[in-house]
Amino acid sequence: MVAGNWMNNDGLYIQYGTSKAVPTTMGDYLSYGETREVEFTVTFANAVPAGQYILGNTTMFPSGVFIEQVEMDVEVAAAGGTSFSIGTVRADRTTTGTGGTAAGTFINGEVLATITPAGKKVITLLVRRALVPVSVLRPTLRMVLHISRLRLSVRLPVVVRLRSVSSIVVLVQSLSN
Amino acid sequence: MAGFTSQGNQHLIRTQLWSTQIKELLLDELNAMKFVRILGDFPDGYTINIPSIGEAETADFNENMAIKYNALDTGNFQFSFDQYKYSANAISEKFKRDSFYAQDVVAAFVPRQHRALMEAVETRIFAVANSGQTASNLNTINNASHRWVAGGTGQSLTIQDFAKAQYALQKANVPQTNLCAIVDPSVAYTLATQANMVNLMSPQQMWGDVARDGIVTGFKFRFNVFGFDIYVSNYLPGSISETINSVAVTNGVANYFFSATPGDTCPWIGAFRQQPTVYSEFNKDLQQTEYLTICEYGFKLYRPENMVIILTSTSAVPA
Repeated sequence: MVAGNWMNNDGLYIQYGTSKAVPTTMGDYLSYGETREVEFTVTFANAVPAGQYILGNTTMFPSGVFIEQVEMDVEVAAAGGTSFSIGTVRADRTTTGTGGTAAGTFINGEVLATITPAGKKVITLLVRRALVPVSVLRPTLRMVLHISRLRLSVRLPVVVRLRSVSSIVVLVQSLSN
Repeated sequence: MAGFTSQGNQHLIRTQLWSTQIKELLLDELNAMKFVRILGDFPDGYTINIPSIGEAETADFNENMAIKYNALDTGNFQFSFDQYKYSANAISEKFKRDSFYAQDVVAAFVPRQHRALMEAVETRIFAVANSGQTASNLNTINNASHRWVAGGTGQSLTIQDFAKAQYALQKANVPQTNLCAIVDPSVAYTLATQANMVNLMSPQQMWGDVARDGIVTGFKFRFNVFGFDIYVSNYLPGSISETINSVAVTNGVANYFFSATPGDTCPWIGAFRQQPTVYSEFNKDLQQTEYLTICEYGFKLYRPENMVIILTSTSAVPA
């Protein structure tokens, strides 16, 4: 069966056939206290050059959280590309650029030299903590060119009541480990 | 001229007689309501929300790694009443006294009003299916088109279109039970005049029966094609001019293919806030009796994945 997907008129992302079996590489680690840690593995080879694709289908960010710190662990040295950005998109899977949902919410225009060689760790302490103002966001990757693979974790000090977490969803599709 | 003749005794001949029976209209059957999932839990308010929950995903695990947790995607279907219609008639006291047919007229008010409203309901149900899709677009779901122009000569429906409709429903995980096709009468004509049927010399029994008895028995075709029970309706949206995938149709009609499996699978959803209700009173100021039937309802395409629309040209039938 040829895999496909469809955003239905309920706003629910529907996957068919083999596309359901693609394992997610994203999720929340068990954590206590105010800070949450979300980790996702980014395989740049899955990205469309100069395009955007969605990293996670079942991990979402609630409104009112601050993105405090972004860490990148480079598993495979970046090669063959120029730069990349990682950010968020609304639950409709298309809307970006409004109210903190820009493509570079987490990483903006990072050049490849920064994530080379393999094993390098890059910690970004955001100068001004980014507040996520809208309720349902999905992480996205915007690529300039294909490069390699990195593991990226995002710390989220949750400043709102945890009931908002129920609206968090991140989907991971088209990603390989 | 001693005897009575017609020419000489016109006063004793009723030259114009009026029947005691009024000629009735020929009415078609209304069937769209049986394909609609009627909501029973919408007694008040403006909008009902029907949430949906997506599927869980898997992840690969290695020893000593920590588990990562995810949520489920969610969706929300919203439905509102958007139709508030009535049908009203009045009859004056003088007309009731003067007309021999006054009682027949009064007796016709309520059934005619109800019929008018239900015809509006039928039309609305079919209209929202067409408007629920994106015009001039293949409406692709899981790589299968759910809207296209029929593949036959002059945009006429072909047997291959039935197979393609079934393929689209299969790709969308729609149950292959109670498959229904609602087509325009012009499409029925096209099917009935398929060359391989009318030229059949040694037909299979099914086609032979059709060639002998005709293709329709009452409202329903006597057979189905690729599992689709075929119904004919005059209420399908028409006057559609679109170009889909570089194939154009002018003044086309939308033909529907779907699974009518009862319950949550039905392509349509709907509800009546007010069932057709009859009111009547005598207006002394206008000296007339007024009759009113009014209802409030709404319909919406609930499952676009369970709806394939094939546009055909009505010019397939010669004048």
